[in-house]
Amino acid sequence: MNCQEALNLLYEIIDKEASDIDAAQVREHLGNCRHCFEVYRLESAVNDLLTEKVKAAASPRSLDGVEAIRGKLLAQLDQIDTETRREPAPTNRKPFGNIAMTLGIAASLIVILGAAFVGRDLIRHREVFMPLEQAHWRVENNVEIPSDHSLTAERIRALADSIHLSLAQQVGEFTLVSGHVEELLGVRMGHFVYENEKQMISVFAAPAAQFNIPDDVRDNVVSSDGVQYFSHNCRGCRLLFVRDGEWVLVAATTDKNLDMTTFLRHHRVA
Amino acid sequence: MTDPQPKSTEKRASFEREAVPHMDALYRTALRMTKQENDAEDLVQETMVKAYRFWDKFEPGSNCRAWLFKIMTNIFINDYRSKSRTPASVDVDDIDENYLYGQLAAQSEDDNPEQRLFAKIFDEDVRKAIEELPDDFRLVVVLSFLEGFAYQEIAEILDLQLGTVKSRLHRGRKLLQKRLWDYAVRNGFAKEQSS
Repeated sequence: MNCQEALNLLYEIIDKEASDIDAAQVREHLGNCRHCFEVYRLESAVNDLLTEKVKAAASPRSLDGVEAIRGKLLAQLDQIDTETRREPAPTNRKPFGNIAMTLGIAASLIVILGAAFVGRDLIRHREVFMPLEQAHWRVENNVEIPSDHSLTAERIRALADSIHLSLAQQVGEFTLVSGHVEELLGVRMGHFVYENEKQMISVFAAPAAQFNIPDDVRDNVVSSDGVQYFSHNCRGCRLLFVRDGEWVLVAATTDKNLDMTTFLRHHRVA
Repeated sequence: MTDPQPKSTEKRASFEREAVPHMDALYRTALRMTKQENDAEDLVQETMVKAYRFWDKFEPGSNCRAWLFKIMTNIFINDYRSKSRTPASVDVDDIDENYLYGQLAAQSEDDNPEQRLFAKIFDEDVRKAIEELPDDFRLVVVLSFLEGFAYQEIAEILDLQLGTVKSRLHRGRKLLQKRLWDYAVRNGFAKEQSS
């Protein structure tokens, strides 16, 4: 290595960015070259002093600035959180300043929605789907959890076995995290919960002898791998039904894009 | 029965755990970028809000500090750069590579002339010298000297080629050395040697 090559690597050596081979060759050169050695010594001393000075010059006289932003920031994050939570319910937004007008519009919306649902459908929705949706919501929102919610993996499996259901511990990135028995729609059914870092999905298992797939979803067929699934989508929740031998399985989630057939497929009764 | 609350509180908790602690560093650098306390506060605030909105895009386990600095430098380059005054163009190529070495080596008999020199320079003068660097050089110098980012990290933060980072850092250093030396000469700490 000659002087020019050694000096070209000066700052890479000082910044500890040079390769081991380069560093070794520079060291060897510096051992034989007084001039380069002096340049390196001086530059790294200047660099150390400069770094020290830059850091000292940069420490703000007080951290009040940061403290002030931290307070403001947390308030702003609260606001973003609230906005995000509100998003699925557009009626919560107030596009009009006039409250009377907003109420009027809300009232007419209810009339229109009511008309669209036409009595029977609305009642059916309440009677057939809402209990399942609510059971899933309770788990997702961590409220009113039945006492045996937090079972160990073995006990969840034992529970599944006791109702002769084969359960996968893992479905893709989702892990089976809880299971309990819950009375829904007048039937005692198993309620199992899978989650990954972001989403949750409930799988209900009801004996086919006591629970039928509601007629309301007969027309909403989703076929996958030759199996027929029936879906129900409403504003806040999605349900997917499948008949599997002695069981009717129902998957529920609030996520709009999750493919739920994979869950029901993995849960085929043994 | 509204939205899945656990998701948003979990997001909030991980953001407060991983991103918020970097605010001091962001502010320190923002001050050197914008040169104004008010602008620096606004810049950090905007950065953190944007980071929170895009928090699901951040890959857990990757370099959160570099990710935040990338967001901040992007906002700075797009929105603040025009506001901050940059001194009339600096002819960076005009600097002699070994200027400081030449001057210091000719300076005196004593062993550590650089220490004598730097002992007399105030932090405030260093701050001014950094602020007088043209934006392109200042960003690289601050990220390297102040925040200790590696060349590759700086390249990613500023969307530059590795070679560009190296040459800007090199030039930035030389400019900084030259300014501080001129300052020392002006104040009589050092005497200019005619070479």
